[in-house]
Amino acid sequence: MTSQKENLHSIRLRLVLLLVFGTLALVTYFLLVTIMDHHQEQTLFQSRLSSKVAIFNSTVKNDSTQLRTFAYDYTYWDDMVNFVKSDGRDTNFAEENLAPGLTTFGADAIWIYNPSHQLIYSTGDSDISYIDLRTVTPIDASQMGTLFAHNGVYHYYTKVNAGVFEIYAASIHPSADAERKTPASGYFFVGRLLDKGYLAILNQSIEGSTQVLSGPGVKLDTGYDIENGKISFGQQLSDYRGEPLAVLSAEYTAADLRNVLSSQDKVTVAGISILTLLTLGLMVLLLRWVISPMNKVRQALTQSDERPIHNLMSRQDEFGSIARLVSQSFSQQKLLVSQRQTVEREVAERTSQLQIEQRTLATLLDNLPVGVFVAKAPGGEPTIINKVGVKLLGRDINHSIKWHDYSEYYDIIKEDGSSYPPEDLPLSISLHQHKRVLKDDVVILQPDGKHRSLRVISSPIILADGKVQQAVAVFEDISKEQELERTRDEFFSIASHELRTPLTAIRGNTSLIQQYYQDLLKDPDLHEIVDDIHDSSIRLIGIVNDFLDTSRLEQKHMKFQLAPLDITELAKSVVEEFQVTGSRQKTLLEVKQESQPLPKIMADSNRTRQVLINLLGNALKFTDHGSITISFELTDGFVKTKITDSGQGMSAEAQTLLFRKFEQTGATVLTRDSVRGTGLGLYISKLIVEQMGGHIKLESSTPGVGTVFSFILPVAPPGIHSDSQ
Amino acid sequence: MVMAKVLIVEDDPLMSRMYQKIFSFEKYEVEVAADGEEGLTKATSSNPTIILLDVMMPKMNGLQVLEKLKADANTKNIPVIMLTNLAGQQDAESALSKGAVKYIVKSEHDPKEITNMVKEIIAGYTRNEVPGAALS
Repeated sequence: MTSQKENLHSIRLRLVLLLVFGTLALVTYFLLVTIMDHHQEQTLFQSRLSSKVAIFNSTVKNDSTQLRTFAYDYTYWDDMVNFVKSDGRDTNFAEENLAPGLTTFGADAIWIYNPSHQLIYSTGDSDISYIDLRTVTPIDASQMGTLFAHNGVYHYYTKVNAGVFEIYAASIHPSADAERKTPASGYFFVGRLLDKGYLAILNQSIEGSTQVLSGPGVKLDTGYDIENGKISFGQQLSDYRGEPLAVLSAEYTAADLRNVLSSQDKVTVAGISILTLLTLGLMVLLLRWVISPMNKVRQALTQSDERPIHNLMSRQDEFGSIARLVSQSFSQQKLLVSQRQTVEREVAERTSQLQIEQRTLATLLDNLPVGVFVAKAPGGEPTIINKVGVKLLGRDINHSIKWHDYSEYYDIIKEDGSSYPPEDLPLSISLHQHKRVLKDDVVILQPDGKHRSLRVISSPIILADGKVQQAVAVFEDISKEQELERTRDEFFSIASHELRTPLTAIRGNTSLIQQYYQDLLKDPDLHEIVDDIHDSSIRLIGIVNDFLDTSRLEQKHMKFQLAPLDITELAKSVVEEFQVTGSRQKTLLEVKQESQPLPKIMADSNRTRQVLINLLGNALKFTDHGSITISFELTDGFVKTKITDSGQGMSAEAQTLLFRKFEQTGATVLTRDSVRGTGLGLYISKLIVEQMGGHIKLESSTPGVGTVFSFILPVAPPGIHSDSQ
Repeated sequence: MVMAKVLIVEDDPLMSRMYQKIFSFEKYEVEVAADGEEGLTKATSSNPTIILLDVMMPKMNGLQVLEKLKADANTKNIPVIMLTNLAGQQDAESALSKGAVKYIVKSEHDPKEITNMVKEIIAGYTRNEVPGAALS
């Protein structure tokens, strides 16, 4: 967060710096322009100054030249020498030559001195008639010697009360002495007062104003003032010694330059001002449009609060869009948070529910009186085993074993002591063939060598998509049950032996009486009594046999010697037996021979015979006349044996009771006596057929027409022979 | 014709008496033994034509007696018929495999039928051609 903050700050800083640099650059540009303008101004003023000075000086010099000529021309003139010698009394000369000279040369005054420095003549222009030229002299007489240390023409200015005179002073010589080598014959002074007329000429030439300034501290001022366009210049006026006396000062106002420059300056100032204003405005706008919204967005994002950007959201610019996006993301975030909370709550609820269910299941499992063992498909890694399961198997759960390790890990054996093939274990079958299996031949070999017999029911756990994820085996200890069974079997064996021995003795001895003591049985009643005893003993033996068979079949202790068997031959031999014993009856017994030889069936010969005897016996019992036919047909891997009689048939009600234990066709106990038997015959036949892999059923029975029973037994697989055992 | 001698090895006096009677009536010479050991002794001493041997007996059961008879060169050619009260198939199987000629469930036959069977066996085989020997 801090780095973001710094970055934002630096952007703001950079923006401000950019503005400042831009401003500075522009200001510098304007400064340069100003300096260049200034330079240009200087140049302009300087050149204007030079031109004005030139005009000024030229004007001054022109004026002065006339005066100088006047002084030169009149001082090497013999008449002048004579005039001085006359002490200025030659009035003609003065009137004819000197006075007109003033006008000709533009001078204002003339002074003439004799060689002994005495003023002998003076005259002036009418313009300066107010000045008494006898008292206002061009030089103090005492200073004449200094001025004229040498002969010649001198130029200087002198100050008087009326003003400043420009003076040309020259020594007077004969005309033959052009080089003024002779001693001066007198001294000639011409002067001009620098009055208004003089200044007006200068003013006109320079288009300005001129004035003569004198007094202490007066200096020549040459230069210009750009501010008000004034250009100042002039000439230093010196006295006869060359000392500064006064200043001829000129001033000129360059109005054109001044106006142009001042407008230029205004443009510059306006430019700078506009620029400054623009920059300031830009900064304000930048602050309003970019930096402030940026800060608000940052604030909003930092605090995860929508309030700072609330006002931004209505804006139509990029920040408005950003604010709306941020707000949107906040609401999404809120939604996500609430969704997450809901999910978390639901997960917590489900978890607790699951825990409850798990506890319930665990408690349930641990309190079951049977063992429970759950394993994953298809590897068979155990996942759950309950307490009883651990007790019965003798080992706790081991998650790393697989189905093929079960027999070894848990010491699972068969009743005969051989190792139990893991693939035959109920759980393995459920895992791999997805079948529900019940087996009670599973034995756990305990460490003390004793056997624990288990009955195992195993089922696959099939999910909605039909996949098998796990399989569960439920098992119970049936050792005691089996022992009880053994005890019962023993009891039955002993009972059968003990019952049958006396019964056999009764049967045998009555039979001896019947066969060897016929002469003693002449009384028909006695004969009948002995016969009844004999028959009863046979029936009793039959009943005992039926009970024993039922018991063994129900316990699956009946041993079947399965071998290929010719059912037709067997049927024929049974029919033969019946024809010997049942010859009294007028019923035709026949075996229908198939045109094609039937395949042999896989069955126990004695037991199949027992079924045939039972069915034929029943048929004979209920058939007074007509025929009983045994026929065969081959159906889909089985041979069907059909016993058809033309007997009395059975009612629909009686049919439903067939094949049930102790049920007979008689509707009530009282009517049982119509036929003899325990009623176990069909039940035993059913168990025998089914335990040999077949099926027995009533095909049809119609009262008064007859009954058809049938049973099917599997065809013997090829390659197995009857003598293979 | 030399009178055939039947040795009846049967512990139950009821049954023993009944078989003695029927075989006497049918003109057989009858020897009786009440248990397995006695049966074995009498089989050697009395040299019977045929032996009826009960399965369940004290001291030595019928199957053990049968084994010994078939192991002894003097007795191994005497045909033996096993008599039993049990209808168990295994007993019959093991008896036949040990050399018995026939296996009879006593309760299923009248005594006369048993004498008929004995007659058939004696008529069918000479002493030296007992199928039981072949089976062992």
